[in-house]
Amino acid sequence: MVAPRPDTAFAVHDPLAAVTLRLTVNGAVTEVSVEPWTTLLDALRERIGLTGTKKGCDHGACGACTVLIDGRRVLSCLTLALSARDGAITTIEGLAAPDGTLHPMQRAFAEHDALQCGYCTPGQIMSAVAVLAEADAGRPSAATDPAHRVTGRAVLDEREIRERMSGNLCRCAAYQNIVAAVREVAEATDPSRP
Amino acid sequence: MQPFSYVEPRSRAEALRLAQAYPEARFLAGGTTLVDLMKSGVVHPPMLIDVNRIGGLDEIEAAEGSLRLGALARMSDAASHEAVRTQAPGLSESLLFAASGQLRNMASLGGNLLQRTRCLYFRDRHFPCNKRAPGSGCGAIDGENRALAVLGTSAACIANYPGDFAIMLVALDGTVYLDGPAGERAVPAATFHRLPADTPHIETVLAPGEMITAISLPLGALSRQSRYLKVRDRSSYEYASVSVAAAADFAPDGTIRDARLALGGLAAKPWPVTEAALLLAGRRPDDPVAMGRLMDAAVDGARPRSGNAYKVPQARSAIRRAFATLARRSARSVA
Amino acid sequence: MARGAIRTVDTLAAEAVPGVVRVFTPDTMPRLPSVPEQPDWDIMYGSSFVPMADRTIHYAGQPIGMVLAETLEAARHAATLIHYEFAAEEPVVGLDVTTDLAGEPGHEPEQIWLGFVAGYLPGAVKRGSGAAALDHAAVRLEGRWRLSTNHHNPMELVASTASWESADRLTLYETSQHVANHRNGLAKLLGLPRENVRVVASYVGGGFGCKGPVWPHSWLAALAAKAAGRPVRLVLSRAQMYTAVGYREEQWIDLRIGATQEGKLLGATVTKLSATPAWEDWVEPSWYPFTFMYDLPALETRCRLLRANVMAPTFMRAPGEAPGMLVQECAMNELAAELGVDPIELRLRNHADVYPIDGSQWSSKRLKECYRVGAERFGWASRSPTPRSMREGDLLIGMGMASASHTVYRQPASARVTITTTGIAHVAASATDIGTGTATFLRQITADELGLPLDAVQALIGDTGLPEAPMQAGASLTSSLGSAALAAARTLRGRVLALATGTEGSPLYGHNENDLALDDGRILAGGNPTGQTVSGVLRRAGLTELSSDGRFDPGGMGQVRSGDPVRDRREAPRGMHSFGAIFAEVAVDPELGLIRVRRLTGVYACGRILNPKLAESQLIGGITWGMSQALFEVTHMDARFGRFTNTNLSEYMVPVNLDVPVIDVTFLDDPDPYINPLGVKGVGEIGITGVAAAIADAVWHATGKRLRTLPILPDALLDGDEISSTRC
Repeated sequence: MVAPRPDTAFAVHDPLAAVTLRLTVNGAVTEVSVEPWTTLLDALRERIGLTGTKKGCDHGACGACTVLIDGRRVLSCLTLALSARDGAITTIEGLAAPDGTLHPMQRAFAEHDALQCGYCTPGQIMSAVAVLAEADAGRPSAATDPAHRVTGRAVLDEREIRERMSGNLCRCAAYQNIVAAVREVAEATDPSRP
Repeated sequence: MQPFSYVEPRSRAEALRLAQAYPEARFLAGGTTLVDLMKSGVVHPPMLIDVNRIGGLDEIEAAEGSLRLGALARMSDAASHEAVRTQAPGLSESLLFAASGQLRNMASLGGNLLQRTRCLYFRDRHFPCNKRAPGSGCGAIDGENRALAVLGTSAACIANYPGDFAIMLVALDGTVYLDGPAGERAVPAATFHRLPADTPHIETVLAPGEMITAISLPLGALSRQSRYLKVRDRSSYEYASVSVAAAADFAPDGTIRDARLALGGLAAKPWPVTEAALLLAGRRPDDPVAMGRLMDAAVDGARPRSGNAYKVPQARSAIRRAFATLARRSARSVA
Repeated sequence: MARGAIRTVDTLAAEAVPGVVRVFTPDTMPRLPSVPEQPDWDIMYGSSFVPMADRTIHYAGQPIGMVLAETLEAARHAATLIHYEFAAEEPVVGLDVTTDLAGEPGHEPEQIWLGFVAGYLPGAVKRGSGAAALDHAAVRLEGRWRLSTNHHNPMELVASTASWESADRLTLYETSQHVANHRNGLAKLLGLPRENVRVVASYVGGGFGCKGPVWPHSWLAALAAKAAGRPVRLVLSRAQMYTAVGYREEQWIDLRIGATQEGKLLGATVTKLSATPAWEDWVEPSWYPFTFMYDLPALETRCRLLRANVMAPTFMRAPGEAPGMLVQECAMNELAAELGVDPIELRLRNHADVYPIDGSQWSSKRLKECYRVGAERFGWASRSPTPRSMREGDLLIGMGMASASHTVYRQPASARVTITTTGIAHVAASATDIGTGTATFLRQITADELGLPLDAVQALIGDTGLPEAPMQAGASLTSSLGSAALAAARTLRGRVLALATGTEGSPLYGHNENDLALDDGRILAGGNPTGQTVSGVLRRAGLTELSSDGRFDPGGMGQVRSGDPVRDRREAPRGMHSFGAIFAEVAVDPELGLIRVRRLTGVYACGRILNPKLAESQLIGGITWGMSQALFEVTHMDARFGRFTNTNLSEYMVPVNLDVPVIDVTFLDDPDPYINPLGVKGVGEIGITGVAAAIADAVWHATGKRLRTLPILPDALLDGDEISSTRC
């Protein structure tokens, strides 16, 4: 195989060899043994035992496996565990405070009955948390008028929330209550409001 | 997934050296297409060269009438970039209408240009497909082809390119920068993708061992008045049945000085309608004769199959709609 | 490969993959000790197909190999390395074949669902002469509705984890809607006593029907675990779920229906065509709604089944009602347009005042109020009746409506309620929770009856070790199991009070139990505190806890009985249905062919609503399914290969958040003293019914096009594929 060079910082030459990685998950550094083909989703679920992140399609079509890496929402089913080793990974298990106090988004989902079977819910909540951060960063969506100059937080009206949350399928179709939950947290945390 | 080895170069030179040494290796950027297809058994590279940690390939710069986007810039970052939004709103739209928030955070612009077709026969290795297995035949021509191409098809393949960003890039006269064993080169975005002819497995002009390093497009009146209209069954998170990348520079009286048009969802490549500038110059978007000629030119030679004839009228209407929207936006900004 | 046989198998490469433990093929898979000819649905319901037992290929996607490995990745990779050679034959699939696998033009099944609801849902209905009645009709409608194959696609993948505790004791963790069925099925197939099989499924990530029956993956996992001598987990991929756990069959429904000039229905004939595998007859009773929905004096129904190279279809949300209500309600709307009568008015003229199947009374029916309240909330009066008459800019606006209804199914159920001296109560039943709120309603009913705060009641569910609950299906779990829990709690309450009043030395000794009440663990007399607590009563009696069992036994699923034998002797049987009215507004972009649903308003009478929040969520979900049936869902079969093409969630469309409009759901107060002690009719299934017909009518109202092929895609609006109502 390829001889490592100084500018090749990392290589796994044996496709079937297990590699020990240090993944930072929910603030804790976890040693985990993976192969090159292990996805972050399977590493979390099968190797680390964090089964809150769900597998719905394994092909990037449903959003159930959504996690945050360095605060950005990504699909863990299409992320190789090896590629994720430098990032700070947040899963649904990492949202609540250490004393068990739920994250406001978790609480809002429960209060609004924004779930039925609950299987897509971890992905929905991770996505919703990121949606608020994206809005705070002034990021537009396909529902944003291109002529509108975003200053500060992007508006999160119903249509914006629905568009921004459309990467998370819910077969039970709890969408209406998901919108209500996200909207409530968005309004409660809007920095432009007194 | 087949087993593969994994290397992570920290420099472009090392990445290219690896690619040259291992011709069957593939570059891994966002992974949203590649990892998906590897899981499906459609592609099975023995080595992935993860280029994500190569510095300097993800920058977005707007200067001197030109926008330069690093190949590793993520779709979401490019879509949100101030210069992209103000100087090329249609380009921002083409990115925002693609995929989902999660996928846009992952997918790179270079990778997005290389997105593979959603043809169901390509993606299921139990079907024949000349693109996946040259010579095995095309399952789609007489099969389930509702989503597939009507323009530029061949007897070997009717797959379509599923991306959005590339359509607007072609409309706005973009350029794709490549680096490889033979050195750096630049190719017009309009010629980057290839039609299938009898080699549908060769989809772009990318040579073995070459990588996309950057993408550029001129900024000006056209890019500032650009619009991406995406038509699909679902309201979001779906590939286009038809998409229209349109740009028009309007005179104060509402007539068009210059225009660009490219179509998505209809062919194996972004489909430039080069007649747009000529047919629309001096006309208004609501001029039925000019618009009729443009729509005729756009779908000239279309060859619908059993399930995708609807795309032709849909494309015609979408073209008119896109230019009408541009005219409204222009009038609004003048007012 | 959808038909033929395996000629050769080579597993060497697969076995060589590091981490691989065992490779099974049809040649090496351990055999079931007993293979039933057909499943006995009194014991278990599921498919009778036994894959991995011989080399014959019956359908594309049939299991032909299984790899056990230390990691998921190694197993998946090794599975691709098993090399097969096949002798392939031309598959038979599709509804337009002239002869089926058996060389016949199809056959009429003697019974449906293998007699599961024998006598209740006949394969053919003859009420008067539907055909003769049509001869006298002033207005006749004739058409074929083509409904696509649909897949359940719950978000959670189907999975089994099989663990043998000893040579003859199995624990199965299963994505199950009915753990008792999985226990019974696995015990029967594996030749074990039922008590040696434990099935666990506390929370399940959606089912919609596909996780009810026993499918081969469960016992394949059990056989593999036994052979390997270690636990085995088998998770189906999303693509595998399209060919392993059933689906709603593609169907063509031919309808002829006639009415008088005044719009009174005279008669109808309904013929359904669909496909079934070689080994069993499956058909959902899509003709069934015609039997109960309207006052339809003459009706003849038939179904024709083609044997084909397909896996067995199965129950899917509102089986029978979902497609049947679609066709019937579309027909009502088309007739209304023919007659120039408002669609609601036509329905009122044909309202079934009594249960049409046997002329008995309804247990309760507030359909007329559903129409009225729905029309008000939706603003039906603002609809101009003429098609294409409502516009907004480039958009054509359309409004449509339909009735909704679902049978009230009832199933035998058991529950146990226990109260302890810690003040905590437990309610236990084997039922799973697939998203319907099983644990919540059990706690709610128990807390209400025992006068406890909700937090003081815990639910134990999803384990065959608990009192047996029925399947989580048919919108019947809450009503049936809830009634059992109510009985258990009521008995327990009585026993606590009996202890308090019947024990000498108790401060409440001699009190009349009817004067006492339980409130937050305390005992009140005449509404006043007595200083006595439930815990104290137990302690005084030397108990740490007290349990009571409760049972609901309606005497068979779907029987038109009250469940109370005394009352049944006193009263006549009754028709038991939930009813509703659904209204839809669509905006159609005629140039692009796009249809977007802008508003949905549903008003329902579903008996007592135990938990408005959960019930509203069920309805919102069901209505969204109806919208999806109308506009999105289709699994494509490529007949040349006998293979589904779009077995993923990218190309099998289900609605995303942005597709779904605000859905306005209202429940009418609908007291029903007959159906069960709770008065609950169930809400899980009715939501899907009628919606697609309301949307199809709204599309007609917007565009003037009657479209009878579902889903309605832009193609139909752009290709000029127009069907005008046929007057014959």
